[in-house]
Amino acid sequence: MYRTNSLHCAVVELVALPDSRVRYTTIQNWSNNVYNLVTKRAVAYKNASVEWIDGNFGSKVTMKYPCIILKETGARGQVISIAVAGKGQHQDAGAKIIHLAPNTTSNVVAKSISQKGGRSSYRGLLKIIPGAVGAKARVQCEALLLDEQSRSDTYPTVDVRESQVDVGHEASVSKISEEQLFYLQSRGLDEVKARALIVNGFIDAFVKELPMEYAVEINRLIALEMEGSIG
Amino acid sequence: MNTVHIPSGMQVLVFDDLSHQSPELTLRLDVGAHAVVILLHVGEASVITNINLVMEGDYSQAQLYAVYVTHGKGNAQLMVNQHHLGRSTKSSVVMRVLSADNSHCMYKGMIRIDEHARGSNAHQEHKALLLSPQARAVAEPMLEVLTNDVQCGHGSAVGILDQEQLFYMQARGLTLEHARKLLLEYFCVQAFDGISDPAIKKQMYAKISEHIHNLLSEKSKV
Repeated sequence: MYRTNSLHCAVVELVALPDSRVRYTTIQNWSNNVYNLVTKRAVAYKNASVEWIDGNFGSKVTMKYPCIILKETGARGQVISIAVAGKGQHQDAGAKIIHLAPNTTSNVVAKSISQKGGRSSYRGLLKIIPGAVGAKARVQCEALLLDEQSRSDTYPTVDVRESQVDVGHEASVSKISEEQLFYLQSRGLDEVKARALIVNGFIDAFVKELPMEYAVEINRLIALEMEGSIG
Repeated sequence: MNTVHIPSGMQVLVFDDLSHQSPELTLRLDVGAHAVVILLHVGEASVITNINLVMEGDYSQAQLYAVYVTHGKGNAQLMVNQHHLGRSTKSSVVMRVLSADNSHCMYKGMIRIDEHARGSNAHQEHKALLLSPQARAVAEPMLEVLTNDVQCGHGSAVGILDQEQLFYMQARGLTLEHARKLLLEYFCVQAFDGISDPAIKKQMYAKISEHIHNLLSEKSKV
């Protein structure tokens, strides 16, 4: 823990030249009095692909919206993110995708977990300009609320100015279902283990994108975050 | 802004011509009250409609069904708040948008579930079809959920008519224009699937069908 509130503001820029692929993976676990205000942006040229894999833990407030500008034909973008908000924390994360060229595709999967009164928000923009014919975009937000004091928000904007496109946005908010919990307990797991297993299942789509060393790390982080979360 | 207090029981409100009466409306629902709001907007007029559904009493529920067909330089906006205060309350918004020419249609929806509204169930569904390259669709379906015992979600889609369905219908002997008309009609009419009153449904179907017919015949003239 730092002695006073601190600020972290990084800027990351990726440029994916024609036919290249760039993947940027980060897992961040900040001290509980850090304001984490970060800029992340990328440009993808012809047939290039950009992938942001982003894990947000800790901090007091995180505001982070990885951006991908799909600038030339056939460019692809993907954002896979997870945020965990605990006591006194606000995770305000999302993605910004801008389709500027024909036949560009993008995919966003954003997951969040709120617990112990924490708040997590998805804030995103999906924009398709006139002429970006054949653009395809998907956004999927899933939030898990682990207790009744916690909060989840979703603030997406979808702005489509071209007719020949396929755009979809979906979001859902849920809690750990009693049924799943009951089933796992009937199989001999105690409640703590059962809840941990459900949470692990929830973030699986994220974890399986990670290199092995990171996956081990994130499983430990989740276990640490969830410690004592059952009263 | 008009505020209507809805006591227990059911109430249906129909606004089938928003270009003449664009409502700014707040519905406050008592325990067990049930409100159904139906909106139909067709045309070139620029309209902004604001609907607040406030589920104050436990077990209250509200549904909003909206179909917007815009053309010319029309700019239509629908803003809906689904505010859950009572326990075990329910709300849903279903919207379909057809935008032709240079028209814009914007949907801004907020589901807010307060701390005490446990057992609530809230959904938003928005689908738009753009009929011309200059048309524009904007969607902002927002959620603010302050407790965990809820079922809450939204979906939004923008696209073109399913080419496979069009092909199938042509293979069955329909002309392209007829197939398009049927699919566009079906797309809009779907929004009213949840309405239980058959008379209102029929009336809405007839209006939509007429407007789509006009829209398509105007287009073919150009």
